[in-house]
Amino acid sequence: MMPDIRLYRLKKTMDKVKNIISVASGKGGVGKTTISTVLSLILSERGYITGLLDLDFHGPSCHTILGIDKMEYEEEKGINPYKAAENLYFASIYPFVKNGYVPLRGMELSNALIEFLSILNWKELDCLIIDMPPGMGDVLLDFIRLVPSPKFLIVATNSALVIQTVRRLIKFMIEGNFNILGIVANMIRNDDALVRELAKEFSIKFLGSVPFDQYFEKVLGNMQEILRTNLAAALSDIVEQYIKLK
Amino acid sequence: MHEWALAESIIMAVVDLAKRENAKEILEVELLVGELQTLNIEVLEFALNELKRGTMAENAKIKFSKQFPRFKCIACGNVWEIRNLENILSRDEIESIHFIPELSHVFIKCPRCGSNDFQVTEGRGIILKGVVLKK
Ligand SMILES: Nc1ncnc2c1ncn2[C@@H]1O[C@H](COP(=O)(O)OP(=O)(O)O)[C@@H](O)[C@H]1O
Ligand SMILES: [Mg+2]
Ligand SMILES: [Zn+2]
Repeated sequence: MMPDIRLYRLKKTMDKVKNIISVASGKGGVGKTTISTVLSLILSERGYITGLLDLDFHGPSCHTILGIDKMEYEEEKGINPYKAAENLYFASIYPFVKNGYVPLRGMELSNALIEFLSILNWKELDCLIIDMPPGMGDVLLDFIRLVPSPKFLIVATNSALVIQTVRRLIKFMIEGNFNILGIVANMIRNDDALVRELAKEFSIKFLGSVPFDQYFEKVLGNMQEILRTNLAAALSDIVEQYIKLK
Repeated sequence: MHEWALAESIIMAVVDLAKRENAKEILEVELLVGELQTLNIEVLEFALNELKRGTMAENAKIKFSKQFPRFKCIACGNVWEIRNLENILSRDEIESIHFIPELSHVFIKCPRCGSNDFQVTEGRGIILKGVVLKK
């Protein structure tokens, strides 16, 4: 068997990243994209050289939170992630597909992931935040196979429907010995007990609660305003307490 | 264009292979270039010749063969080939597919039934086909 040449460059570009935080859930609609994107804004604002990578190929959407519409990559022996703000470098398939639909089957998702990861020229990053797609399909499985030592930040809401799916993901990760940074309860109105119990059940860290912020929809696309929301304030506390970058 | 990135990967891959096989030298590298990715072979060849210097592939002969992309529609079974992407796609579309060949599913449809649900059976992108080593 001849080696897959793409994996060599993938490793080389990933080696430039000091910390990888992958925001996952297993469930859709719980706030993975919101939390990963706002987290990247907070870290970059604090002066960390930060990357944000949108791996939701079926529904890329980080760019909408960042307010990026027209976006082109600079090409230089591969592609340079887009400078979205001071200290913030962003990569997504959005500029390639714009608003077109992206019908990909399992193996194709897997190939698209490998191809994309291997052509990106990340700078020396303090931290790369990854917005994962929902589910436990090809993207998650290849991600953990190929990306060196990611830490998983798990997102759940306080709903039994969400908890049961997230529980499966956590079991999978614990059995596979993956590094779980902890779990965040999102869109909390008053009660976050189910998420706290889930954390206790598996002895993983409960990182904190992010309130349901009805103002968030109105500030989509405005990075400065986003940083002033309650949502961002809650995430800032989490960064302060738990996100220790090498 | 990311021919340089690909060339870099190819050299890393063949050198790694040669080391694992305890070879003394790499004599030949054979590449199969699938044309869905519209690579510029001259640029690729130039990059390979630059990058191989000072490595075990320094004197390796690099051979290319090309393959047109072939498709099989999962919805209706139709099989087809595209010889010239420029006839059916815009420059931006070709460029997107150049970087990620799977994005062909965004821009190409089965000419018989219009479905995007097809397989690329041949000619997707570049593959390392063979390496001849001197032991
Ligand atoms: N804490 C929050 N407060 C208010 N709205 C939120 C919050 N978190 C997420 N949302 C909204 O919920 C929806 C789903 O969030 P999203 O980040 O797209 O989830 P996922 O990526 O997990 O599918 C979006 O409309 C988003 O703006
Ligand atoms: Mg999402
Ligand atoms: Zn068809």
